[in-house]
Amino acid sequence: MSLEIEQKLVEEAQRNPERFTDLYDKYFEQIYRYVKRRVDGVDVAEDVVSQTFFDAFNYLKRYEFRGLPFSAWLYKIAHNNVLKWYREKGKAVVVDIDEAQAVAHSDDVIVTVKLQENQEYVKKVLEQMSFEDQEILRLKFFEELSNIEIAEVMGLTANNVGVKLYRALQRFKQLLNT
Amino acid sequence: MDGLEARYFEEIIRKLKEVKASEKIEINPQFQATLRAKIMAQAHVVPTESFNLIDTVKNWKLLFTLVPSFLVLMVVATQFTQLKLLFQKNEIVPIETPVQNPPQNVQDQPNMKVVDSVPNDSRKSDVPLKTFPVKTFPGYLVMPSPETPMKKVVEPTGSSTLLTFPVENEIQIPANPVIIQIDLPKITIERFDAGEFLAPIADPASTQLPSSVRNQIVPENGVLQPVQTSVPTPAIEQAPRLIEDPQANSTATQQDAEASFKTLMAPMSQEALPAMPLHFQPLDNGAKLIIPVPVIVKEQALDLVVFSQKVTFASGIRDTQLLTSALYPEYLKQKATLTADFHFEVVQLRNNIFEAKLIEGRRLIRVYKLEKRGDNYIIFGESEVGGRT
Repeated sequence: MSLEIEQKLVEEAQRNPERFTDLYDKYFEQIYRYVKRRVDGVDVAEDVVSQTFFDAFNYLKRYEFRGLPFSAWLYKIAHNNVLKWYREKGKAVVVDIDEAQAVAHSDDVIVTVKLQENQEYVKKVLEQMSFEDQEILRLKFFEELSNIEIAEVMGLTANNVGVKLYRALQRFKQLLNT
Repeated sequence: MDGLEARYFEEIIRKLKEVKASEKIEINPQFQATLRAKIMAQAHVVPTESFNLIDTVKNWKLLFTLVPSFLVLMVVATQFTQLKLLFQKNEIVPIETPVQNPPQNVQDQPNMKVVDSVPNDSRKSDVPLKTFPVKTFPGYLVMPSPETPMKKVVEPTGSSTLLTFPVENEIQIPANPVIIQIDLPKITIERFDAGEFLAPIADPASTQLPSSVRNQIVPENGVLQPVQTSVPTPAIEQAPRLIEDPQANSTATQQDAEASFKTLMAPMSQEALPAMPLHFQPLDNGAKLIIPVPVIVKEQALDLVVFSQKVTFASGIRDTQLLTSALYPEYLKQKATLTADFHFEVVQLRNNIFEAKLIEGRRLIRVYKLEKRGDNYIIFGESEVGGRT
């Protein structure tokens, strides 16, 4: 769907709230997967997704087209709700290098070697990274957003996103190789 | 991310994509339907807006911006049209409250009123005046500064104060009806030309009377006659003066008198004006101003050739030209009172003694005695007769 068609769809939803279901049907799975990757448990993911779409429905009048896909606006709402959930649950979003290294240098060397070859290990290492690094890597390689869209979601500039992405990859590589 | 970085992180990126591909995120269709139903229900609660709320708000913003701006502009424009930007010099602005200390109180009491006015004191016109603007609305009232001598007259009732605002080199004409008296130097009108009578004054420095004044010189029979106007040398001390002559009285309106005065005063210097005794007082509307103008009509002086035709000689007199030349100066002396039908009759009394009679019509005016001395004839006696021949 081109940006022009998507913009007309959003404008119709702004005039007629019932037309918001079209946007919902289009972006539900995308937003659900993103949230599901960021939070623990299906219930939490459903809560965050529900809150995300209700927020989008309630604030749709304020949406202004800026040349970016409507999904970027939805990702931004979902990102804020995930971050809010992290804060409410007291989840540590600060990276703990020692913990990640401890996982890598576990006593069960055999298991560790196996994990290194396993995708779960990669996922485990990724989860040990900071919230911002995880967010950038996930938005970039899981959600496949552009740097501009990531900047819109995270409230950064495109250049800043590029720098942060480079550093996040370096840290992720360092954690994987240790 | 450029190609170099992509190659550097190629393995990492590949692992991340493998993780993504290995993810098995199942979506609960029931949750999706339930959430959709909730959103639809909320959408039904919110009525479909028949108008665009954002556009409406924008329109209201526009109205709230444009309408007050338009009103302010209208008010400003109206005030500008009613604004009296400048007061004429020496103009007396109505002030309601009596003023005791004008420099301080005028600013505090902008509603003061002048109940009457007094003429400008020309004796103080040479005092340099300083003014200060008093902010009133609309416009500005220019008041004399505290150092400026200001004439203040209090009415007998004691409740009102009369203010005057002197302006340098200004002639103030009060509103009260009075008579204008103009003291002007003497003007002698010798000849009046019909064409010149109607022609405007080309040279403002000329001492000729302006047309507005000359137009007043109308004979009693109303018929214009050619006369010659001779004016004395223009000087401040010898400025044109109108001398009363009941036979030449004419009438003029006040505007004509003022216009005549301004024309007469134009060539004079500004310094000379205050020294002149000027007493201007306006007339009632429709009133006529009587300006006496003396008109002395004289015959134009004849030249010697024409004059010789006016002289008749008795038989036997040979030196007619010399006698004529001797009589010509006497003619010039008397020409002012002579009419056109005058003539001289010369007779020889003795060898060197001659007698010349000046006769006007049938009236003998004068008798001159002439004596031949050498080649000249000299008048050695004359007598005024005034009888009939």
